[in-house]
Amino acid sequence: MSPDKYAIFDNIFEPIVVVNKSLEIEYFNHNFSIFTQSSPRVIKQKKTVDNILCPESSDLTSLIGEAKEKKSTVLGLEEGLSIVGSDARFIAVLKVIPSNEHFVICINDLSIENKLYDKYRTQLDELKETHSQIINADKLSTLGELTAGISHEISNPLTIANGSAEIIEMCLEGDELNDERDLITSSLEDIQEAHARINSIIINMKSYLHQGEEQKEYIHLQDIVDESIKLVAPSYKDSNVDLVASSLGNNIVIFGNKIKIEQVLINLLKNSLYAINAAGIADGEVKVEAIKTELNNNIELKVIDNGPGIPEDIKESIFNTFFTTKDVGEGTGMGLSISQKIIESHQGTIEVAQNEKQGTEFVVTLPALELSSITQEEMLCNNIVSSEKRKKRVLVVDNEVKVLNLLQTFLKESEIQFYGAENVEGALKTLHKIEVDLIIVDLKMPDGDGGELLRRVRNLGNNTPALYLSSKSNTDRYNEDKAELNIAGMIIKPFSKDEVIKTIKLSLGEK
Amino acid sequence: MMFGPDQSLRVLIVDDDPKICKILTTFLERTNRFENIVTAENVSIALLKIRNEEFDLIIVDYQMPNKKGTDLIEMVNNSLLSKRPKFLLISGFLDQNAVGHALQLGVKNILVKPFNRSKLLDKIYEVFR
Repeated sequence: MSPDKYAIFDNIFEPIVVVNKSLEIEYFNHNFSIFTQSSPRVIKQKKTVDNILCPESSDLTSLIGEAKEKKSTVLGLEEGLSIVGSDARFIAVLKVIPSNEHFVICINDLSIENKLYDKYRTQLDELKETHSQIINADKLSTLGELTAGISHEISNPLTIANGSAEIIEMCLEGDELNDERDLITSSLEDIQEAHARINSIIINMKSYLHQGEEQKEYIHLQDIVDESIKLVAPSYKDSNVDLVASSLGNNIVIFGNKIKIEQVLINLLKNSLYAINAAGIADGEVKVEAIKTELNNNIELKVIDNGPGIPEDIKESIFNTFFTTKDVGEGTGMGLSISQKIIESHQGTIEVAQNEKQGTEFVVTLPALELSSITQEEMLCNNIVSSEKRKKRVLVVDNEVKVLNLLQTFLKESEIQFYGAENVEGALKTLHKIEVDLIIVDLKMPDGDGGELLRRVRNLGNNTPALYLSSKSNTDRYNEDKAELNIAGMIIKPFSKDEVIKTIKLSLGEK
Repeated sequence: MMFGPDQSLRVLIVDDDPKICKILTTFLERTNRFENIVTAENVSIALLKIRNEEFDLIIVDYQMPNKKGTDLIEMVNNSLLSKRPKFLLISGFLDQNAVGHALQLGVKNILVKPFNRSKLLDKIYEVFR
């Protein structure tokens, strides 16, 4: 032993032990003895370090071997570390520094950090839980405010159904049923229609209240607008305010949580209606518009009203929680602040447009599909893993959101990263940003067909394997294009999960 | 005036939903106590019909696009008609303000939707009591 050489380690607060290649202890500092709760005499008796330290997942001999081979410092994993003959267990990282024929093993004790991490983690989960409860409370209060309109909307068809049933009853009491045939038939039709009307209202309310909270999916913006309008329409009708949905781009698809975005839109529509009513504006009108901005790859959803506008002095505060201009009991002051949180969780923004004209214009900006799809996948993937080990990436191009959602679910289960695009343009943008391992294209899309897309991709010098996704009637097309466009195969709609996974894995060169 | 078996009444039904008008009409027809049943889909048409002929009873929906049922009652009350018709207000949802307004206008009977035939006839009976 040459204690003098290592004397400096005694001043270090970290436990340090120096060993030779057979793990025999040459030196240990004062803190190593404290850390292992063994006296210097005991440590000397044990001779080798593996008689004292017992890492749970790495192996001391191989760590030292690696350090020797690389001639540089080697870090172990963050792992459990126990001391032989003691109950003590730590979370630590082992660092091995080679020095001639010796190896300096430093033990970095992370137990405290680890406990703190766990603690913050729990607190964060609790906060998330509270946050989702607040969002739910807003949903309930919104629905509460809409109840007057909705109950009116339901009582009409209920009256019709009930009345028609009574008419039939009266007809049955009469002597000659044949004379009443027309009346009975039309009454029956009215009953059925009324029930359908009631049902559609109830279904809307239910789906608004109870749906997967965190789940994001591919959705047509149009569906979000339609369903939000259905819920607020009765209130608008009662107040004689026009609600116009115009120029909703063609087939804009976004990736997000449908119910939450509906919640935002309903909040905005309700606010506009309240403002118009409160100001007593006679020909109130609220417009919903959606456009895809070409330059920034964004989607803008706008709610524009001809109400009194937002006074300058409160513009700063409208997104604050509990800020409201309504009387106590009328508003919670949560609508806009929650809307902002929801939109932020979709990597978007919500703001009031600067406008010279009368009225208010809210602009919700959401990332276009090619961005949100990438963001979602990048957030979930493990960036520490080297590129050979990274998950395979598949780009699916289809304008039907159902197909995108279905394939996303299938691929997620198979540990494959999924990127969706709704049209040719979106697909090209996605391919410009990331490298994928497989492209699956639908043949029929509004802005061009999948074959064209592949031709453009191939012309760019991109030879990524590709699959057609179409109905059986297009097999001829596949056979024609197969050689020229280098298409690996075809998925025939309708498909089963097993089939589709098999085809995809085969094209990815997996078993 | 009583709503007795020996009378025959002239009634105007005002509702924006044609199916509700049809049901009310059928209910009233089958009592054989109404000699004339007229329907109107909004307040303006109702006013035209009131100008043209006389009614004993006006059954009117509260919630209609443009003018509400109470607007019609107000206008008829302020008009120079020689004979005031009776009113029955129908509504699916009434808030306090609306009820207050209706009472101020002298409406004594409100029928809440959904209703059935006997509720309707009871209310009409009350109107004429």
